[in-house]
Amino acid sequence: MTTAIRPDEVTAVLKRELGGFEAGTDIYEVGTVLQVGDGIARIYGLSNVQAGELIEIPSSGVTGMVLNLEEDSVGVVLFGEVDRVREGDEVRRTNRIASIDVAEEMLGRVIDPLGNPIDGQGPIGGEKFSMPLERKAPSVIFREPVSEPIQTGIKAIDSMIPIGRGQRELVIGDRQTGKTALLIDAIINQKSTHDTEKPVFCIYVAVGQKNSTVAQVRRTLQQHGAMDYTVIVNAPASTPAPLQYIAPFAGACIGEYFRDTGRHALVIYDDLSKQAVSYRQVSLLLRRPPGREAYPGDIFYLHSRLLERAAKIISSDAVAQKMNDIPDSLKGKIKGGGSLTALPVIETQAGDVSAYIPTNVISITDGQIYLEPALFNAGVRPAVNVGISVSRVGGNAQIKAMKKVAGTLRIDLAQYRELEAFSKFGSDLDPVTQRQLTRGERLVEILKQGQYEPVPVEEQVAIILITTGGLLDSVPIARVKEFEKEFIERMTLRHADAMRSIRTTGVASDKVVELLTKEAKDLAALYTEIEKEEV
Amino acid sequence: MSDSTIARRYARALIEEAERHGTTETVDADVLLIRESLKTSRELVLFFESPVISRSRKAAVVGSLFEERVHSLTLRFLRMLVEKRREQLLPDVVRAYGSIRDEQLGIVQVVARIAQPMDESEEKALTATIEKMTQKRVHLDVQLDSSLVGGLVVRVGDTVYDGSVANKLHLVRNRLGAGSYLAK
Repeated sequence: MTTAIRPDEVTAVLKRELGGFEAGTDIYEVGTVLQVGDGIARIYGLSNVQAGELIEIPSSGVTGMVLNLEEDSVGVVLFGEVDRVREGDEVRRTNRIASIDVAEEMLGRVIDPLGNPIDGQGPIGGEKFSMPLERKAPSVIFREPVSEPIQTGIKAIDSMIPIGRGQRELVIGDRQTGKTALLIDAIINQKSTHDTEKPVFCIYVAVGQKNSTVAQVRRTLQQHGAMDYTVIVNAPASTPAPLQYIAPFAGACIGEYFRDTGRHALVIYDDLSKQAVSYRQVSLLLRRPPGREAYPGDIFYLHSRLLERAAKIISSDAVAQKMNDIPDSLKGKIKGGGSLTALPVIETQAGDVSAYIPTNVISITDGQIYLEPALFNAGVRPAVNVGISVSRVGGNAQIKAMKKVAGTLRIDLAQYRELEAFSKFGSDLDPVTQRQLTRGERLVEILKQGQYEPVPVEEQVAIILITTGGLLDSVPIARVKEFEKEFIERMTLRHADAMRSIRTTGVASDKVVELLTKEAKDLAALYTEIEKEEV
Repeated sequence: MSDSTIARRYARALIEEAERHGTTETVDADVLLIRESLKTSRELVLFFESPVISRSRKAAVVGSLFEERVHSLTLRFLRMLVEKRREQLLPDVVRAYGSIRDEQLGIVQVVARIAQPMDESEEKALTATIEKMTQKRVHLDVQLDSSLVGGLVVRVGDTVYDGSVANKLHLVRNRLGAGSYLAK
């Protein structure tokens, strides 16, 4: 027979739950809302408040962050429902610097910039770590040069604009040039790293985008099994400007959680031009003086301190544990060897890279991937302009085999671009020029690839190696894609070991090169013959 | 915000001028009188605020109202406010005057909200405690607020010492709900 719960039992449990509850006097500091509107408020009082501190308005439950400390008022940006805040409301200090709770279980979820889930799948469980939104980047002692690659799975990037773990590489281009598509591919390609010892976790920060676009991104990632290791931070166009402005910082502190616990993370800020616009709005409303293009004077610092947080951490645990500005919640959990790679996005207007924000971010990052509408419309997709795209540090991170073939690829492509204008003359050209044109056309062709089809590094090496080796020159241009597909199929079916060896050892041994050449020759002969018959 | 800066400047000017003439106490009393008048008479506040009434009319009214009652320095000050078209700031100026004088005299204004009326000895004990804590003279303003349920809330400057039952209940609820500031 079950006995009913006795009242004293209930009391005992409640007492235990409330254990340590101090019934003493609660001391806090207050102020009064003087003025509220457009997502910002001016507060009178709060005389000891710190810049960047979180404040709370108890009557409406709205929180905010202190941005301006003035002679007789405090400028605050409000997060959440601004309409419920009234003039004269009491404001309390929280004595906490603005931060969000990061948890392992955020993976696979869509959250707002304050860390609350917004995908309707219930609260986020697991152990939570409070990570400050604004945190100083690790100083020199705690860093290591970039040495490991991040494979984006995009041939044009992995071969000529390689990105290393801990690097900051800008993706820049006009609207509709495939910036987001390229980054989604990069996230999808990280799936393969989860079978290795060094998995890469991804954070996709959507700033000022349409909610429908973000929903689509999430669906695509789910379909490709990429949501399992990805967090989406969403601050859509309809959220107040202050939230859009902190969204990349929220993404950065989630990334730092992985970085500082010795793991690898990739954070994508899509895009920083919209974040800059939100910050401009907030700044102007706070009456900070406008500068060039009406952006505030600290817009450069805003982006530089955000992107500085991308880093490769020293592999020694002992040194890493002494890292500067470690949040209390992470103390004792720090491991070395982690990295945070940042891929910020900037949208240019009509290809104008010399506008204020693009030049700023170009100078902050370790290189840029430039996407061009002209290439996009000509069918070169991804529309990466490899001529003006650079990666300043990633070269050290490339695997040897790729480094070797990429050198030839770059030169061949550069020569092709120089001669491209003559291609109209066709047979009037000397044989050398003609050969260079043929080679270039085929290289451009093999660098094209479909959306959501990231290519593993060994396949990239294989196809680039045979193309720069001139083995495709006899294959008609219209059938290069078909050839590529069949060639890769053949290689993976017949010579799986050889292909795997490229990945594992990082080099294409003479034996592997020989195999590749032989297979390519056989297949090319087939394609050429068919062509002759058809003629 | 900028209004209060202007008000403070006028208030400081009045204080400095009074100090120079050695009439601080008289001016203090005058300002108190103005404050009380503004508090009790809505018409007076509206009169100062109204942009419709001409300056000369306002100056005349100020003269006939205050001439007999205040020191000549205070009267001149009021006339100057009218002339400079700052008369609508008078309530702010009076407030600023109060806070500057408090600072000079080492007085803190303390608001105590209580759930149940206190007797005199309790009030004295409270004042003594706060004076000991702040090392300043305390001007206690006691307000009855039944929403506190029990206990009292003392506000010294921007700092609130909250010993009310209402706040404790709120804290207990937060603790049981494990609600953080952001999760709400």
